[in-house]
Amino acid sequence: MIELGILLGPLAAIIINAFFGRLYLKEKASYVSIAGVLISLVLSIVTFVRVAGGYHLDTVVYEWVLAGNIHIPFGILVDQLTAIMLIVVTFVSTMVHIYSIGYMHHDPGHWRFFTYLSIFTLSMLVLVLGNNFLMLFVGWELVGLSSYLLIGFWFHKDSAADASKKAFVVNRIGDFGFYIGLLLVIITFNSLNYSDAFNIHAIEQAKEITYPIFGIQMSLLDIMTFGLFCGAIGKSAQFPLHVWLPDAMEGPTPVSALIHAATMVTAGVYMVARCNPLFSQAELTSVIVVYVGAITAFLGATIGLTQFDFKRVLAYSTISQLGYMIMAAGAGAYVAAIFHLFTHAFFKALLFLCSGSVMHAMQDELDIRKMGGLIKKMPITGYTFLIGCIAIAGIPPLAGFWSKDEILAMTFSANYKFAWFIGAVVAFMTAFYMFRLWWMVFKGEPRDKHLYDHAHESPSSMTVPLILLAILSVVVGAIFGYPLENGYIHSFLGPVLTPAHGGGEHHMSAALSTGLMTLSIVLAVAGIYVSYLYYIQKPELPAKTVKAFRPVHKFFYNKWYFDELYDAVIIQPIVLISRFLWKGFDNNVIDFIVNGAGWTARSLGRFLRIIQTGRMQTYLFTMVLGVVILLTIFYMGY
Amino acid sequence: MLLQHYLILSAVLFGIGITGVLIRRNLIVMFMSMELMLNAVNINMAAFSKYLHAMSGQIFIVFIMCVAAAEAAVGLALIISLFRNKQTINADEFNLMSK
Repeated sequence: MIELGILLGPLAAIIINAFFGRLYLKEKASYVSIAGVLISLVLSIVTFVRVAGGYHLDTVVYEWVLAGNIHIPFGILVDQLTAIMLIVVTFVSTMVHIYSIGYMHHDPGHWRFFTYLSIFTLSMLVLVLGNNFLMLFVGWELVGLSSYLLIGFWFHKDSAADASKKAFVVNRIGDFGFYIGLLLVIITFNSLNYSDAFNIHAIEQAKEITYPIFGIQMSLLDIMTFGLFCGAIGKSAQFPLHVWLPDAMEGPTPVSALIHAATMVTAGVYMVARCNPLFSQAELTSVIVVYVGAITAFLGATIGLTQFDFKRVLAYSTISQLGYMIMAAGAGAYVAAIFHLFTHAFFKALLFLCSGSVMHAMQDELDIRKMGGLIKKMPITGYTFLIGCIAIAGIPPLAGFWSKDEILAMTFSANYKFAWFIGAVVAFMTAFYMFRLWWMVFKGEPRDKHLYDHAHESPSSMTVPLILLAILSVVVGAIFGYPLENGYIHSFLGPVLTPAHGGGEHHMSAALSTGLMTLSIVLAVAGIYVSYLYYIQKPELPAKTVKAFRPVHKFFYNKWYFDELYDAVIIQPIVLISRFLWKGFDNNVIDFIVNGAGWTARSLGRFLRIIQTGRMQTYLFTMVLGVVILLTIFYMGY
Repeated sequence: MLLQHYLILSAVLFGIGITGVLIRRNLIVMFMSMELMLNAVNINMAAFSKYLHAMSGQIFIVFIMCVAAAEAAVGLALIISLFRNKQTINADEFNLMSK
């Protein structure tokens, strides 16, 4: 049961830091947290190796909830999917922890930051290790809470406080659907354990039961999975609940790296993959999942093209990549989804940590129009960032290529041609906007002389994680993904993620497979070349393009007006209703009743106060007298 | 000893307590008298519990003792704050309610 140790490491760090951090540990709190997460990392690697050797664990640590005939244990499930997720979570987490020593060096809330980081890691580990839906839900909510704490870490900044609230509230909306999904799981399977819920007979039965919803006959399974998927929409920042993720940039950069790479947003993808026996049987939901994913990928990419904020471009690229994963999961290619999650975690963490390093050097400046030529000042950050860009753009043999190509191929072969087309367009855009960042920030001439002169390479506690992540971004795809569609990751994840229908079982002809692969490479290279043309060779081109497509550009630049839309459709009406309830109802009706009661009591009291002498003995005497009289009456028989 | 003995003791204690509360003016003494009354009830409880072979009486004693302890904590704190305000604990001085 060394798996329990994976949880106990960060938990111990939280307890130590929470009790002793503020007064005694202070700057040293970081070491406690790192020790905790290192324990988890080592044990995760051990677990991974053991799982690769055929180890499997589904055990109950103790019975947690006993309600009637429903038993919900605090149980641990370790299988191939868990092992992969453990590696991702603990490794990225460790890198972020180490990086934060340098990044948060001067912050007075040092110990608080590291405590929160440990909570974040622990929550995600609970989510991943649980063997039932309730533990998933607990981890799910804990992740939401810790993201709230970390995004709002600099709570004295209004923007950060608002962003944390936004993230929390938007996630609640998705979680409501998730909650309904959970209740349906309990009702249908009479248990929350994965092993009971993923029972093919019970699933078949659930598929038979249909309810009319909005005039359409929907099966219980479709409703259930749709509810669960709503949770994923919120947590994995899918359209239409993606709005919280870009605002989450208000938190410290290591937190963004953690949210975007290892914890939080991957939870939704993990959940869908974990529930693949349910999702693969729910045809209607699968279609919804694919198109939500495709729309999200497109939406994220188009907005990413136009933004000038370094971290925001990265945030939208995360949204776009998450769209890919969800799309793959919907198309039944769960292995591809998890594989992309796996590779994405490394290069996205790398990209975010690089952006933090740049911010550190540029005195917290994030506008890429003020950067340029930084490669000379900060070579390590620059070249590792380049590796991240190549990886995400999908150039072989770097990590992103293998997983992204696989998602596209799987979507194509699962007959979601339109989704595949969107995915291919997005692949081009991804290469373009990522290299747009690279050219504008690291190449070309410095645009702000003052900032450029003060720029410097970050300390080694920040660059070492960058280098480690860069190495993994290079090799991890080829190690696990080669040969395409039949790599190690497939034989590893196969037992848990074999879809009952759809993409995974389709075997494409070699020619088609090669054609798709070539196409995705061509798209990536084209994207890189176009961005080179735009930002290095002919710097006047971007302005011209913007002029030519002004309405479209404006639409994308303003993030498809989602915030404005929600403001007009949801927030303003709620404010109006609240204002009415406050001014109209509360002030006039409720207050009238309350004041009326007070007024009546006061009028009556005017008479009664005559017998109020203010002497305690009088009252006591009256009371005793009353009791004596009552008792007398009682015993005399009325 | 018979049940009556206990009951008589309890009644006497209760009488002393109630008289103390009624005739004394010192808040602390009134307070102590009140505790006396509570304990008289406790003796009653214990006596009947033994007599009827029912545990509930004894369980109730524990509850009463808890309440008495909590009451002592709150009551003494109140008396202290009263003393700080008026420099006296004479019950007659506290007649703000009549005004």
